[in-house]
Amino acid sequence: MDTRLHARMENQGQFERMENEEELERMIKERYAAPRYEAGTGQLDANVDQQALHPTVRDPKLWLVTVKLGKERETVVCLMQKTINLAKQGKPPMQILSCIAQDHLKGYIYVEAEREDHVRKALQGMRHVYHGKPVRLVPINEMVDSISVTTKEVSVVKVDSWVRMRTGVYKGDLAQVVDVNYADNQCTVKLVPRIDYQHLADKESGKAKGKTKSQVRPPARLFAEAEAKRLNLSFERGRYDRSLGASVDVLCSTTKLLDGYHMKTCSLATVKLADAPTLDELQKFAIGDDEDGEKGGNSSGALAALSKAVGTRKTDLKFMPGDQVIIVEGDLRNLEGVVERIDPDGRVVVNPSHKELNELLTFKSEQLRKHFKTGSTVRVLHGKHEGVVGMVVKVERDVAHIFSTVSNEEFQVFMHDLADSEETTQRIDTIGEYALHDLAMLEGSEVGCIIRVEKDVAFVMTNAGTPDRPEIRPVKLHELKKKLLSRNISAQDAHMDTIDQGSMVRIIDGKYKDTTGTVEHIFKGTLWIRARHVQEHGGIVCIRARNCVAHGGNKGSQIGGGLAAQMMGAHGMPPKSPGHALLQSSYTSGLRGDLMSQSLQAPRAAPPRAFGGPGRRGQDPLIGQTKKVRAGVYKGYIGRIVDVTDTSVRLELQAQARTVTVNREHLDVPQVAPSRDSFLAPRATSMYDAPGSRTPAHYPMTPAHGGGMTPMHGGMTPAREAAWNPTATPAHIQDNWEPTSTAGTGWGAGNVGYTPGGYGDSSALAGPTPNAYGVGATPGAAYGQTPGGYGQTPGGYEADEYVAPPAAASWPEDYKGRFLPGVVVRLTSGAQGYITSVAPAGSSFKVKIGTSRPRDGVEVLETVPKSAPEETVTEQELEIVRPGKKTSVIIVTDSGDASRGDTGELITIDGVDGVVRLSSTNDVVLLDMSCLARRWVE
Amino acid sequence: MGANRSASEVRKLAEAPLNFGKGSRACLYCKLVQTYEQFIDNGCGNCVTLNMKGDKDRVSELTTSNYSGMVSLLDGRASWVGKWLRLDTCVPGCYALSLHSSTSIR
Repeated sequence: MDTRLHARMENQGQFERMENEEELERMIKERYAAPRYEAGTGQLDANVDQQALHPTVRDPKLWLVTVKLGKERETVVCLMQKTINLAKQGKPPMQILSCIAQDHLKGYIYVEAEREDHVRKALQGMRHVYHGKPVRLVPINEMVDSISVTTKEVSVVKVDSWVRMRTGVYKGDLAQVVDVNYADNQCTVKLVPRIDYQHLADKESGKAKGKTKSQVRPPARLFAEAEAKRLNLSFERGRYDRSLGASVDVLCSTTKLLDGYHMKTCSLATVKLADAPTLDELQKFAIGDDEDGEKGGNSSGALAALSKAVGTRKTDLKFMPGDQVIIVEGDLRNLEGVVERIDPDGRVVVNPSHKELNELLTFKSEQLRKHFKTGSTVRVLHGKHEGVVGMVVKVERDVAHIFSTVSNEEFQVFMHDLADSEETTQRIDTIGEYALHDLAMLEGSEVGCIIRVEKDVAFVMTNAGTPDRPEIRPVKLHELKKKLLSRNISAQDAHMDTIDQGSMVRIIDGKYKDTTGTVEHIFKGTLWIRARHVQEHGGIVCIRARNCVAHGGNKGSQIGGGLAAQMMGAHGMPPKSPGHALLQSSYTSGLRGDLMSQSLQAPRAAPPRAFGGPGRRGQDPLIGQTKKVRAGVYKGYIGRIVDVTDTSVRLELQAQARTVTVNREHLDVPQVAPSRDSFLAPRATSMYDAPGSRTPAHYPMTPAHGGGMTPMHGGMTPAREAAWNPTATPAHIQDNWEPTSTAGTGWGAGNVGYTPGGYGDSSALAGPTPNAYGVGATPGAAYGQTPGGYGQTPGGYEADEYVAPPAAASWPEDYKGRFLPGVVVRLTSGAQGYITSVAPAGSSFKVKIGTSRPRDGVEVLETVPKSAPEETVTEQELEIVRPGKKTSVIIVTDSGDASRGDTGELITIDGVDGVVRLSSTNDVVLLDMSCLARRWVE
Repeated sequence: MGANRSASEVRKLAEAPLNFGKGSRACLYCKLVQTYEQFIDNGCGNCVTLNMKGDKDRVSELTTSNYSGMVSLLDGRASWVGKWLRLDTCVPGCYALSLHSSTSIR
C-alpha cells in the first residue's frame, strides 16, 4: 500500500511536469500496453514496477548484524547520524548504503553494502553492536522478505467506537470513544466509573501514603455524588472541558465526570476495539442515561441509539434461510423480505414481501438487516439469553423486545442476535439427556424438575421447596444423577383421591390457592404442577400432593389405560380390558351413590372411578387399618390393609414402597368366616376389588392417609377377579386368590390338577408337601392346615380381635394425634403408664399405670403389672415421655423416613435427632425426637 | 500536491530523529521519520510543498506515530533498498518501513 502511495505521488509529480498533452498520451500508452498480469486488481502498474525492482546479483547485498536487544532502531538512527556527522566534517562517507531495523526482528539489523568489510568498517565504534558476532549475508532470494512489512488490517478507533480498556482498573471494561486525537495518540472514552472513594479520600487527607491501594477492584457503577460528599471529597461542578466541548464535573481535581460517567483520557494504545459488545453491557450505558435525569427518554430509546452506534459489524451478519430481513442500503431500502438461500459467495437471496416484486433478489449481506415483526417467534442466538425461544412483542429499531415462552419474562435483544425459531439448528432446552420439565434425581436423594436450561446449567425446582418458597437451584449436568419417570406413579390428594401424571389438580391453599394446573411429575407425594396462570419459574409449581385436589379430569384415564398401566407397574400382571372396568363401574356406581354424595367435598363427575372400595368398606372394617404381619415372608412388616378376601389381604407396606398379598392368618386379623357368604356374592359378579391403583409411590404416608380413610377410597380398583384367574374354576371361586409370592405362583402353575381347597394355603410359608396339600381338600380345612394359622397360634385371632396388642398400633381412623396405643405417657399426676386404647376421635384414652423409678435423674417407667389399674383420661392430661437410649420407640408423627405407627429401637440420641432402627425394615433412620415416643414392651 | 524535488534538495540531508521511539513521527507522504519538534523546525525534507514547517496543526495532520520498521537511507540512488522502497529520490535520512495509519490515504 505504501509503495503504491508513493508511486502515485511520483506519478503526480511527473504529470505536473508534463505540460504537453501528447507526451502524456504517449506515456499512458506505453504504460498500459504492457501485458496485464493480474487483471482487475488495478495495481498492475505498481506491481510490474515492483517486480522489476527485485534484487539482482549486481545490486548491493544485505548483511545481518547482531545488535543489543532493543537497540535496533537506535543503532539504525546512530548510523544515520554518523553519516550526517561525517558529511558535516567533510570526511568521506561510509560505504554502506542503508540500514534497516525491523520491529519484529529483535536483536538484528540489516545493513546494505557491497562488501562485508564495508559493513564492519561502518559499524566501527558503534555502541550496541556485537562486533564479535559474525556478519551474515542475506541470500538474494530472501532480501525482499527481509525488508517487507506484513501489514495487518488495522481497525481504527473512531469517535463513537466501542472499545475495551487494556490496562488499569478498567481492564476489560467496555467504553465508548467520545474524542480521538490521532496526533497525540490519545482518546477520551466514556466509562462506567470504578471509583474507590475511600482511597480517594485517603489520598486527599494524605493518609494514603502508607496504605497500599485495595486489591479489590471497585465495582463499576455510576458516580454517586452522595458518596463523594460523605467522604468530603473535593468536587468541582460544571468546569468547561475544551476537548469534550461540554461542562464536566471534576472529582478530586483529576477525575472528569459527565452524567455520572468517567470521561477518561488515555492513550490509544490502552484501548482496543471491542468485537461485539453484548446488549447487557451496552445497557449499562443506556440505563445510566436514564438515571441521570432524562426521565422523559425511555431506556429502550437510548438502547436503539446505542445499537445504531454499534453499527453493522460484518462478522455478525449471518443470515439463515427463513430470516426476515429488511434492506437497509440502496434503491430498495426499507423493502422487507425473507431470506431464501445464501449463495456460496456470501450473497443473500431474498424473496421480497411485496406484491409487485415476485422475483428473488440478491443482496450483499451488508445491505440487509434482520427484521422480525411483532408476533414472530424467534430464538436468541447470542448473549445472556442464548437459546431462549420467545415471541417478539415490540420492535424498536434494531432492538427487539422478546417475551420468552419458557420463562415468561420479557427482555431485549438486538435483532441481529435473533433467528427464526422454526430454523432451529440448536435450541437449548436440553442438557445432556435431560430436557426441560424433566424430573431428575439430584445429589443427596433430592429430586427436581428442570424449569430452565441455559448453556451449561439447568435450573431445577427441587422437592424441598414449597409453592411459597420454591427452591430453585442451578445444577451442572454431572449433578443430575438420573432421569425419573412419573408415568406409573401416583399420589393422593387432600381427599385421598389418586393423582396421576397428567391429572388436573387445584391447589387448595397457599399463594396459589385455587390455581389449576396439570401434574407434570410426581415424586413421593410431591407434585410438580404446570399452571398456566403462574408467571414464575416457567409456570411450574412444586407442591405436596395433599395440598391439592384432583379435578374430575383424570377419571377417563383412571378407568382405562392409566389404570392398566398402573397395574402393570405395580404388580406385573396383565391388565384387563377397559371395557371390563366400565362394566364394573356401572355396577358399583349405584351401590355407592349415597355414600358418594355424602362424603365428597370436591365436586365429582360421573363416571365414578373407584370401584368397590367404598361399597366393600362397609362390609369389611379391616380395610384401612394398619396391621403388622406376624408370620410369613413379610413377618414384621407393618402395612395398611387395602383389600381383603376371606383368605388373604392386600397390605400396603409402610416400610417398602409396594403392596403385597399376605395370608390372612399371618396378620393379627380375625378370620371372617361368618361373612363369607356376603363376600361370595359380589365375587360371583366379578366384584372383587384389589388395590390395583396402589402404587409404590406411597412410601411416606401422610397422616391423612394413615388413618383417615374416606368412604370414597380412590385407590380401590378391581384388579383381580375370579374369571380372570387362569387357574381358578367357577366352582372354586373362593380360591381365586393367587398369591403373588413367587413360591405360591410357581407351585400353582406346576399343579394343574390341584384340588381347590389347598390352593388357598400360604405355600410360601408352609412349604407344603404334596401330601400335606392333599389333606386340606376342603376350603374349610385349609385354614387349619397352615402353620401359624389361627388354630395353632396361641391366643389365636379371636383374642386379637378385641385386645389390640400394644405393638401392632391400632387406633381409630379419625384419631390424628400422637398418643397412639403403646405410647408411654406421663399423667398430670406424675404417674407413668402406657396407652392401651384410644377412643374414637381421640376423645379419651385408656392408660395402664405402672411403676416408675428415677434413673439418671429421669423418671422411667419400669414395670406395668398385668393387674395394674387402667385409667381413662383425656389428651390434655397426657404427656409423651421422651424415650431414652436403647429403648423401643414408636413414631407418633409422620416424618421423612417413617410414618406414624412405625416402631423401632432408638439406638442413640444426637441432639434433637434420634437414630432409630425401624423394626419393619431394619433401616437406620434419623428422626426428630419430637416424632418419637417410648413404646411399652412387655 | 506533490513533492517537487530539485537536484540540490536531494543533496541535502534530513536530520536523524532525535527520538526513535514513541515520540517520533513519520511523514504520511514520504515516510520520513523525525520528531514532532523536528518536523515543526525543519519541515519534511522531501515534501516541502506540504508546508509543515512551523505549522503544528499540519504536522499533526500529515504525520503519524503509527509506523513500523526503520530504514536509514544513506545513499538512496545506489541502494537497492531505496529502490525497492521507492525512496531512491528521497533525501538521505531515516524512513519508516511502513505506515499503519489508514489516514495516510488521501
